[in-house]
Amino acid sequence: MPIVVNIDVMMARRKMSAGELAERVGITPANLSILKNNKAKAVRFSTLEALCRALDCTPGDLLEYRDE
Amino acid sequence: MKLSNDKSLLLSRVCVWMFALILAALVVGAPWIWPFVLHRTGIVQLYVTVTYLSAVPAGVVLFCLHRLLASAAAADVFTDANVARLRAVSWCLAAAALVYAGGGFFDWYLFVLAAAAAFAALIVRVLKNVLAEAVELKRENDYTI
Repeated sequence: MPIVVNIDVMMARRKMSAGELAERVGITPANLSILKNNKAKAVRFSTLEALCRALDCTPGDLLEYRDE
Repeated sequence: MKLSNDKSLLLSRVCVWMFALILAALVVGAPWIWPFVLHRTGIVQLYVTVTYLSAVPAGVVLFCLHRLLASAAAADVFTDANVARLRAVSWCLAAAALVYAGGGFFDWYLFVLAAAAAFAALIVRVLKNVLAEAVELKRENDYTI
């Protein structure tokens, strides 16, 4: 899929662990792992909003389009 | 009368086992059963042959139905394995239809069975297509975070 989720980059910038982010966003570590590994088929706006709030960033910082 | 899901599943499983027993009895007793049922001696050999040829797909169908019901009991229905089972059932019914159609050239009653088996194959094929789409939808839903 040409949409890449750059959560790990933002997590590194904010020095936040996966467990802490999952807790702040309100998703399970397993689902966060699916997002991090680009296995997700879709992201809900509510999840994106919670991620942006927790990582203090915009959706553009998290999502990237790469032409394959 | 509306059965609960569990009772309905149990009824289906009992029916599958009953049909398996009937199939086993037919396979073992075909040379004796058909002369008793049919009163035209000329076609007994045909019916015995058709029974043996269609017993294999019938056995596969019953096994697949058994596995499908087991997965339904385990609440694990939307899987690729179940799609493959329905596909196998559909092809087995088509194979049985071919066998009956072949026999129909010698006794036209078998054409009726062939038509019924072909129609059942079509129904199962449509169900397989629907289940395949449902599996894809579930996968998408599971991976929506």
